[in-house]
Amino acid sequence: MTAEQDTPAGDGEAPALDLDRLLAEIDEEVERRRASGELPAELERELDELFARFAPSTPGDNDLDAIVEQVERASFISAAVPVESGKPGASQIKRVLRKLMAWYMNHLAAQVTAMGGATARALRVVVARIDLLSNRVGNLEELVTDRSGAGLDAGGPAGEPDTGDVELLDAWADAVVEVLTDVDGRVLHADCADGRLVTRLLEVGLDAYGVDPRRDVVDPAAAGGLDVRSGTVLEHLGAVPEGALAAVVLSRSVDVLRRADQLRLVRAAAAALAPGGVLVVIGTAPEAWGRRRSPVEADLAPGRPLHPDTWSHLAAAAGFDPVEVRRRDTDHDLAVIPVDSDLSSALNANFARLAAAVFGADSHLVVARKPRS
Amino acid sequence: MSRVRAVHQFVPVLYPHDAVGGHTLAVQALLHELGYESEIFVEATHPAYAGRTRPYLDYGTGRGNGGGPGDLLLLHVASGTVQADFLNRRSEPLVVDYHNITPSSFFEPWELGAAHVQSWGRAQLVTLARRAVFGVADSGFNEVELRQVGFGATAVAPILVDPGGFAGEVDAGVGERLAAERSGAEWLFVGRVAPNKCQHDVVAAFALYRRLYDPGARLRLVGGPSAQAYWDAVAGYVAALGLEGAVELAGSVPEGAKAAYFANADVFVCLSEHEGFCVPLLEAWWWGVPVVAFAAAAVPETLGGAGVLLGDKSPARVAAAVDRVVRDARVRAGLVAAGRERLAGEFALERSRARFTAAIEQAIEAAA
Repeated sequence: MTAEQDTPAGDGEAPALDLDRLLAEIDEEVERRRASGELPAELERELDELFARFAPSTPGDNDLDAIVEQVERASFISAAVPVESGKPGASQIKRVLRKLMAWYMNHLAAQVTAMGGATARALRVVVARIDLLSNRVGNLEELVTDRSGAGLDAGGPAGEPDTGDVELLDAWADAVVEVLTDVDGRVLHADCADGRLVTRLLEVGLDAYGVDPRRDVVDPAAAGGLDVRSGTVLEHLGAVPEGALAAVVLSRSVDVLRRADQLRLVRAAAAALAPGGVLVVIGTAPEAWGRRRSPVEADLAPGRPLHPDTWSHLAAAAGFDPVEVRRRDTDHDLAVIPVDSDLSSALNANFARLAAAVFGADSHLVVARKPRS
Repeated sequence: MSRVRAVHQFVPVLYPHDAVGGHTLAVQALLHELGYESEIFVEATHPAYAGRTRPYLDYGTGRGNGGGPGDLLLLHVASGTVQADFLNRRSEPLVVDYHNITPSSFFEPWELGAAHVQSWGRAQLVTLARRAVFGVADSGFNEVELRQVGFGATAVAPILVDPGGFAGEVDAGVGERLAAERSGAEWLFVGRVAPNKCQHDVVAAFALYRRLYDPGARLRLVGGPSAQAYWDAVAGYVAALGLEGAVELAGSVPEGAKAAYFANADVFVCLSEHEGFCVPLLEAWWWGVPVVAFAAAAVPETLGGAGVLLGDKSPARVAAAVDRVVRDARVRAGLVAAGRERLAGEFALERSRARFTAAIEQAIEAAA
């Protein structure tokens, strides 16, 4: 059977097509030609390469030098207007007009070219300064990423999806659901990992979606039907219209962003939230940071977690009021001894105080509300 | 707000034989039938429509130029326009009819000016999302873009195209020339020669098709340039492949000539990577030309199964698909029938008018 379905078509009627089968047959035809040598693998590549000879170089967004070169090329303005024409006599008329107007057009073109050249020179200076700054700052994310192959603060072995942050999400999920129960509107969770908190929020009737920079974690969740997208929280919030969200839940990347980006993040969340909106930060306690992360990752991450008091301060400075902090105690306990006397009770009590002093809180939830007016 | 008495449209320029231009005129006729006053305000008047449009800066200046309570404003958006800034400063409720803005990244390597206009339009769309009470989109693909930039209330209403309008008189001279030149399968693509429409991919697939299937085949690319540098590159590519005698870069042609190209074609090949709707698919269906298309942007939605939709556009796969469509009479007949059915069903003018009417009613409700 071929692409036509085997249902009988009436007189004069066209047969219904099975397009999936047709596509499969087309694929088979291509494979057959490839296998027979009629369609050498390099032939299609050569077609691509040939067109590339006619295409302008396409600098990537990060190739500043190439972009400046493009500006330099474009800064020369020619007053020699093309005069070709398919219409009889038009070419001669254009040529005469060009000659008559040359004194005027050349004057303008010279000024515009000078301005373009000056702009390109200014860009060169800016690029040089950016290069200098980049060299001084270094690129720590690359060091960490190269080590793990799985993102900024990969918790898992190299090459495996990083899901090291899900323990915190699970620990705080009930509290987040309780805080957001009454919000009315879209709820963003970043970084959403495999979408587990988004799922919890959807289950209680919230309009939740997620963002996470780790494609290897996000893509399977998106394939499963969740509204989760690949991207960084700062980029995403930058694209969200002001006041479009009812709540923003931040986790994971809040711990490792640079200071300046942590400050930007609070301001961006404040802008994206509608009046009455809620900002929730699930953060790692700075004291617990070294325990929760590998030493290499902890040392090379561009930023460090903030104390909950600092998040509160930043939220208040961005106009949030009230701001509430909840802490989760560590699950690291010192072993206790059997209680068989006042002495053992006293020792156990001292062990508990010692554990609290040494290990402290493990993580925290900061809940900040944007005033309604 | 007061009861809506007038729905005035804003479009940069009303061009003849242009999808958005034809849609704007059809919307005006529909609004008049619905009992609304409706004028078309433009940045520049095309000579073909002198007397039928008004300068947008005249809006709200009296003398029958609208303005104030009772007006609903409908802005057609397909690129950056000063009208968006003008309307953002006014207080009348605003509706955006979104025909899609091609991402500037397509144009950046080729024409910075065109890239700027597109990115300007995208930035304006974000501000329009805050200002507009409603967004109408030609396609579900366009509606998603509206939602992404923040439009809260939206509806999909296909562009108003009268398939009967495709039945213009065929330019006999062009038709005779095409018939005389026929030496094999006739490929056709109609659309501006622009980086997002990827005419170079059609040329690559065509080159392979001639080598593997039909050395006498010809390709007709109808449409003027959107980026001259891209046009030049496509022309250079054709020459480098030694296909000058087999590929015609026809440029922008009158309607009669376009009809002749459709009437002559064996297959319509669309390998575009960005389309907000793709009206030429409807034209191909009307002319009974089977469609082979690449699945990108709104094309799968518009095509709706009435064509061969390819998930990748490797020249070999495109060539094999075209060969099958051209050579297999039953496949060809099935595709032609599916196209005509879709044209008479999903995109029948009355159906599209009903959907647009419903969208306008929703917009008026949102403005209330």
